[in-house]
Amino acid sequence: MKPRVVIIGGGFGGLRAAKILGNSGKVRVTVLDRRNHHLFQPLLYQVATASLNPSDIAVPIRQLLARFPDTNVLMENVVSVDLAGKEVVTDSDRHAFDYLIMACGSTHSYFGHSEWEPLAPGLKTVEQALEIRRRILTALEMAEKEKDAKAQARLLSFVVIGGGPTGVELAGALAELAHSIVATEFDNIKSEMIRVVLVQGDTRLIPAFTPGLAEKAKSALERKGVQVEMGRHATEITAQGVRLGDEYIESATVLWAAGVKPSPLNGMLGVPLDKQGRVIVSEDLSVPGHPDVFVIGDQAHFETPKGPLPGLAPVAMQQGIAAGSNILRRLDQRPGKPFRYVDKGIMAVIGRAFAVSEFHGLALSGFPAWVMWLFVHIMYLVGHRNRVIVLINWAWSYLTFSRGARLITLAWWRDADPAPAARKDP
Amino acid sequence: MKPRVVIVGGGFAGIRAANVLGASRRFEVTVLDRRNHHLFQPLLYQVASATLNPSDIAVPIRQILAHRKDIRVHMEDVTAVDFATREVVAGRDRHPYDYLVLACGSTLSYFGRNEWEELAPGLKTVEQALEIRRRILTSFELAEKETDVKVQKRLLTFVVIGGGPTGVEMAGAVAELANSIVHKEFRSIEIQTTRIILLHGESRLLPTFAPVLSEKAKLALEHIGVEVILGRLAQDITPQGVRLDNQFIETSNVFWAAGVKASPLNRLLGVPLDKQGRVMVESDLSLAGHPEVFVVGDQANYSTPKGPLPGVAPVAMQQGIAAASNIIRSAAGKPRKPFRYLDKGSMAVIGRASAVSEFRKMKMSGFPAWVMWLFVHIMYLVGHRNRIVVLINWLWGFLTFSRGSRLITIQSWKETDAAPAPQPPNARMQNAPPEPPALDALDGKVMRETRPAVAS
Repeated sequence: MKPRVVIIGGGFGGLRAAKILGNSGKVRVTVLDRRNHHLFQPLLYQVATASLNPSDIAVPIRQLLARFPDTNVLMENVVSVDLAGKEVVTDSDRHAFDYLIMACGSTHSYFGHSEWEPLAPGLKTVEQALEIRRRILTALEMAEKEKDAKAQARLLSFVVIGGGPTGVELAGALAELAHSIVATEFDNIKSEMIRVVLVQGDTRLIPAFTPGLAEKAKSALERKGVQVEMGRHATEITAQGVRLGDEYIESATVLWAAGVKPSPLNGMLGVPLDKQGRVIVSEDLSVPGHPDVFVIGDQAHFETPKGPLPGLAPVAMQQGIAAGSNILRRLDQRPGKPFRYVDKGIMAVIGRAFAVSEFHGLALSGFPAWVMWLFVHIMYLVGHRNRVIVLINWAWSYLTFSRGARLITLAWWRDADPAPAARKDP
Repeated sequence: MKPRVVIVGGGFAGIRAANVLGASRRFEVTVLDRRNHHLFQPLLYQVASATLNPSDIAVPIRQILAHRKDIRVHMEDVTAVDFATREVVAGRDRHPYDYLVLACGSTLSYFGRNEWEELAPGLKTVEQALEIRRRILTSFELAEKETDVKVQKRLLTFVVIGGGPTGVEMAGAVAELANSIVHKEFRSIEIQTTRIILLHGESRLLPTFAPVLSEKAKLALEHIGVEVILGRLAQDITPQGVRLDNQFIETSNVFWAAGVKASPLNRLLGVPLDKQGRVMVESDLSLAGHPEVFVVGDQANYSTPKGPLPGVAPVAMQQGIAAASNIIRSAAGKPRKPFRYLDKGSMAVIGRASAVSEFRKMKMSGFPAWVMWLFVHIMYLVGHRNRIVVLINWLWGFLTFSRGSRLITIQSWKETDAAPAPQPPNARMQNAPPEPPALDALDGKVMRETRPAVAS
């Protein structure tokens, strides 16, 4: 009987691990995920800003693993993990394992203010992206018919909290979306009335990049009309706006890109965690004391001389492959290999034809960085159909300055539920 | 000052009327719609069956009309029409008009059994299509891990109620979806366990088509694995299944394609309605006694010697153009023209390379009808980008037998809400708010609204 491997999570890490193990033919693999799809999160901000459709960047996990006969995909919600009994407990079943790979990723952290979540959605799931899209587009529609100048100004103020790559990309895309459609399609609101504020607690944007690139990103954002507020923290978020210390910004649309924390499952494992709640893993990615349990990606803390590895897609992918390979080595009675991260560089895009990227000391910005960004993202996207469709969508937007997915959709579907326009402003 | 025209509804009729009036440059036009998008409803079943994305078939109304300088688009929920003061009331806003075009379409009718809506969603809005998609895909996922054979069977039984074009297209699409994914991607379920049932009250499918086409449609459906039950009505729908007069079909998936009714706005107008709640209109599409008010599309009953015109897109489009032309004639002091419907025929697609179509006396079925269907639908779709993307999606699906949009998305977006996995497909989310919350989510606070139909 082949050994059983359970993989929790079908993200970048889990998927790579599943493929390498499925391909080996030496183990039976069960992939558990609460969602039916693998999501290409680096492009999620483009769903939130109406450039792409959710299914352009999300593919069913079982479709991606269909060709591996020994691999099972189950849509289940993992409730707990019994490390001693070697069992994963889900809401509907129990799965015994010989080896376990945990790749559950991260969720948003509101730094103890979980009451901010409904007021300031973040960008981790398809639903959150659609909620952000709904809020942005609805705010513009409401502003178009608003006669009270103060209320209109509030509807046209957008605040993005957090100046990392996600915040920078979101703010840039939001500013482009708002300016491009207001200029061509709205009568009562003007481009000058739109205010996009990016709030960053640090003294510079995208702190993981070199200071030179951070400065370039800032100027690029400002050219797009984004007001960058540095060294400021959101001290309060209400239905009316955001307080930044002594300043109050009236805003109907506040978006969160300020922090993430690892899967809450970590707290239940009874193993050492770091301050952010990540599992501290050994150099072969297994959990100390549990050689058959591997933790990878955003959920894991892998120490290097330069500090822990960041929560990036390349880290998760490489760790997925490494954990999968280490399980195969163990089956051959060979010792696991220590994980080595090959730095693939980092990049962030700031709207039309502008990006910053850094690769082993090589800093690029502007159009060349953007072309590279485009190439890398199309390459890593899953599925040929999606690549073609995303490319067409991008080409179309680039040429026509328009967005392809500007739908306001709601969470409810019954005829008896209220229509989006039924919303009233206080 | 140009005369003011208010158009309520950005569907097939409203958009055509707005385009004609906007092009004339003689009116100030305001288009009101509760949604921000025009929806190409004939392809909505392809969103529900995971072939297309919502935005492939939906375009913002203001984008469609952006080049018309005299047109304003407002996202508003119309709550009443005041014929006396000539104003359209939308919440706190009032829009005065010199001419009014009502093109509000229709909603689903459950024949008085409103409690069935939750159990059997229909196919009129993007949200409904996504809900149907969620239910279908969730059922397959739950069936894959279900060990109780009886429960698994119930999860894999899909019942479509109503054998008109929507029901036929829906049943065919579900069958093809099942055929394309079950064998290839699932390990614990077999295609033989999957049952797709099309339930129709009348003695033949597609009653508006020629009997020979009804028969062909039935055979084509049966060929791809759909069980067609004719002459039987749903007596009851429960979370466990559908009751027919002498039989109970256990199923977690019931979809409604059995009936529509005209916009509830009609009841507030105080004018004569027909049995389906449609407004009776004059030969120029205006209201008797209110020559400045036009009612078009699904919302109107336009009588012809062969009975009232059906609620199909070509009727709505032609009436939209006709109403607008009559407004232009009136404003120019010219007499109005009576509306004449130019029959564009009807078509329904059954699946891969199979459709039926009827144009005057010409009847087609199979591959030629399907090619025609494809051509017509791409042609009428709004926007070049959408045409290209839809064509690619279809081509891809045709060649690879796969579906491009098989996402299970859920109703709530907050991390603290329930994950999609645990819930049965036809139950409301366990931890999600029971009533629509945070409609006012722009302000992040929960707010409940009364329905427009019961407004002041």
